[in-house]
Amino acid sequence: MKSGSVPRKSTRVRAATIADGEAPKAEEMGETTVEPSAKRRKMKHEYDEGEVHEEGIYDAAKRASPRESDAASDFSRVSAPAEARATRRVSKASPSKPAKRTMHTAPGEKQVVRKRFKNQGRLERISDLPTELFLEICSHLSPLDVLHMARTTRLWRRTLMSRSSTRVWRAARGTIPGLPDCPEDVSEPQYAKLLFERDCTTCTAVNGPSPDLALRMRLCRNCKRKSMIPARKFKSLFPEEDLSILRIVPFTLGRPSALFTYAHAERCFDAVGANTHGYERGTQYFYRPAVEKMLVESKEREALVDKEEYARWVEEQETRVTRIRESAVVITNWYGQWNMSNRNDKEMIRKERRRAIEAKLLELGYDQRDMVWGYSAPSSLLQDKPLTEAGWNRVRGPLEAIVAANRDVRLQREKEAVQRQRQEELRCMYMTLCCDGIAADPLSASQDKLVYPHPADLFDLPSMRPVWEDRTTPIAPRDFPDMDVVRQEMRTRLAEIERSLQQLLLPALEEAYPGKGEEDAKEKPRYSWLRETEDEVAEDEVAEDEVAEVERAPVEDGQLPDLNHAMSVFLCAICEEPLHWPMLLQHRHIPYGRHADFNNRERARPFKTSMVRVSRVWIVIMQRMLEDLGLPSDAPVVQLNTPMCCGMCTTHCADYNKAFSHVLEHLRRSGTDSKQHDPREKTKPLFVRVEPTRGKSRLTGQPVN
Amino acid sequence: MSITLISKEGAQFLVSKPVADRIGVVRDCAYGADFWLGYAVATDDSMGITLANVTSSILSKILVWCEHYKDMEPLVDGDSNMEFPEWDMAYIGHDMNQILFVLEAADYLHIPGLLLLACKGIADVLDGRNPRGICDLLGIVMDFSHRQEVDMDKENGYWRWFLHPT
Repeated sequence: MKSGSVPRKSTRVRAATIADGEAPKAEEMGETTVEPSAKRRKMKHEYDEGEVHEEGIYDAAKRASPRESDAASDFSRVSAPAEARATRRVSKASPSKPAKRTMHTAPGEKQVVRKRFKNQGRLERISDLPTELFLEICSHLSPLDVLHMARTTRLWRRTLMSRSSTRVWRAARGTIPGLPDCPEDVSEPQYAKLLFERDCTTCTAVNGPSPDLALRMRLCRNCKRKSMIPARKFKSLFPEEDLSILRIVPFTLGRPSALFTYAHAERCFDAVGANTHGYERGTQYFYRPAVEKMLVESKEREALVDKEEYARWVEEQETRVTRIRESAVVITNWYGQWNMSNRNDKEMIRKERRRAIEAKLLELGYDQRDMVWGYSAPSSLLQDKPLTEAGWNRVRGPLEAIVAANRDVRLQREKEAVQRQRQEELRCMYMTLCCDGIAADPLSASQDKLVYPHPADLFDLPSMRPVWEDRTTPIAPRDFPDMDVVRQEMRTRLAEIERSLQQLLLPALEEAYPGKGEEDAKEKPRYSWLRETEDEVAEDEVAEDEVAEVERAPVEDGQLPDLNHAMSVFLCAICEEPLHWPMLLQHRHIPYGRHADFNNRERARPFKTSMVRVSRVWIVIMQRMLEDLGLPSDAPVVQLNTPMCCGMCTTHCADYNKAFSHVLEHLRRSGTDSKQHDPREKTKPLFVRVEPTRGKSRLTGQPVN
Repeated sequence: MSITLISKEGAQFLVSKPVADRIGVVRDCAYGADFWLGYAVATDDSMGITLANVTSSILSKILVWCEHYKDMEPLVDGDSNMEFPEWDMAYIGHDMNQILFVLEAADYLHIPGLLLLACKGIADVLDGRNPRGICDLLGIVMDFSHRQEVDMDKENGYWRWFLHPT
């Protein structure tokens, strides 16, 4: 490991070759049990990284075969276990090598075959090296790596956990600059595990708890809650015991708040501890198993020895606790600084890697503007490893795909921006030409208004598209295509729109006219005319497809309705305002959509039949309006331009549109409980014509009486 | 004065004295007798020293290192945190198989500086790997059962040691 580098987090790969339930017992594995005396002897000369000797949980020395024990004692050549070597040999020498992931296993044995990687087995001869050379190699590793080496095979574990390997651990410790010496109360492997492994000490949860160096443990939040007790709870938990026992048990304190620094922690001797353990700061926290054990031990001692010796023992324990806390201060300070510098180093490496990757992409011809990674940056970009050539080859494909997608989006946006600019230029030109009366024929639905097609329809014409679509330079008047061609295309386009509207209207008109419509109404429930509206809304999703089908269907011209009639009423698909041809082309929601965003004219869309709807109910109301106003059923829209008032509440309405919407609102509100408001009930007029009064204007919405 | 080194395959390498001085075995063989016997064993250029355990390719690689360090002292011992020169790291490279051969040859030929460098090279390869990764790299099988692995993860000898200091 390079100086100052971080030992990599232990990612325990649990691709065990044998399932839990099928794990063979020690006897099945051919392991021998050593005599208690031998065990004691081994315990003396071996480190215990944490071997649990008494409870029968794994102990390297205990489990090692006699052959291995003998081999290690005289420092023979360190070799992989015989079983392992045999497996290797078989797998190599097998004439019919099994497929990559289909290793043969015994029936019933569950075996997970791990994927081979490039360097697999490249260092296998390391197993045949002499022990001295093996230890020499290990002395160049970091403490965490040595710990990992000790977890590979039993033999290596026994070799590295032996007290004769202290030199290796010391040298490994030397690879971490500034690391304080191993405290007396902790063995070298324990020290390495405490500082560099991020698992919870008790439950092995990999959630990266900080080490509590005063307790020599890493505890996750759950374990802290379970096993840590504050001093003030001692009496409630152990009512029979004396509080003075806590003087001989190591403890930790709540971590000083973020305002306090490690330097401050050094000054405040007591302020050593990784966290508050969920309680208030400044309280002593004890590891409960340690307290319980110490209680038992102190009682035993008290019973066995005299008072003086017991007092001496207590004093020793107190000294020991003091020493632990002193060393904890030193190690905590170092750990904080080391952690911080590691974090900074990693951040620098990440930045450097990112710069290197971007430089490589620039070399490939991509633009810096396309290297927008955002929050979903690929993990390959954020690794804290310098970029190597092999690494670049690995990440190149995915990164190039991202950058290429970004580039496409950017180019599309740029193109759209240019197109919007060109359209704006073209729109100004079109307005001027319309004013001159040469760009398009006006559509005169009413006598006082000239309706021109919307610019969005103009841009959609075949002769206009080349003018703005792929153009980068500004448009000049001379670029405007031939007026006659434009007018002709516009006429054709309007004719298409008109025809599609007629086809859309036709079925509704046929239903609404007396005869067929009433028969249908009888068949339907009472207020079905309102429900029909809901049905229409529900059917709106498929309206577009139906419209397309209608447009394709051949219809004879003679059968199509006249759009200039007042009966030919449409609804805006968004606001349901009654619309007539050709004024509907200029309704606010038709070109500009739901939000009628007039400020962004470039978002205007050419007319589509799906932008309007037809309704039999609307046609019936319109028919009623004509009847109430005394107009024939084929009256043009122009004749409706007269003030009128509501027949139900006498509210004054300035024009037929307002009156229509007003009556519609009435019908909607009272649709559930009143038969008299059914537009087909002709007992009472729905609309009343208002004769214009002289010298006194009436505001819309005011009642007449 | 120069000395001929003969590799396992029989290839001969003619090296100068400063270069040969870097190789402990050769130095002892050629001049070590001088200390004990009062005269050198290898006084004749034609005399060759057979290095039976070193192949030609590895020997030539080792001689490159010796040539480089014929006039200066290599890093031999000291802090394990020491930084090797760039040339050394480029020399040792990342070819794991070759590094192992060099390590064995350096041990056999007694070249402490090169031995240290080879150890460092292997340690760099092993650096930052978890036990499973190390096993894959070394081509060995973890002989711990799954239960034992879990126990190793859970183990915390500190409190046991604290409570039972044997």
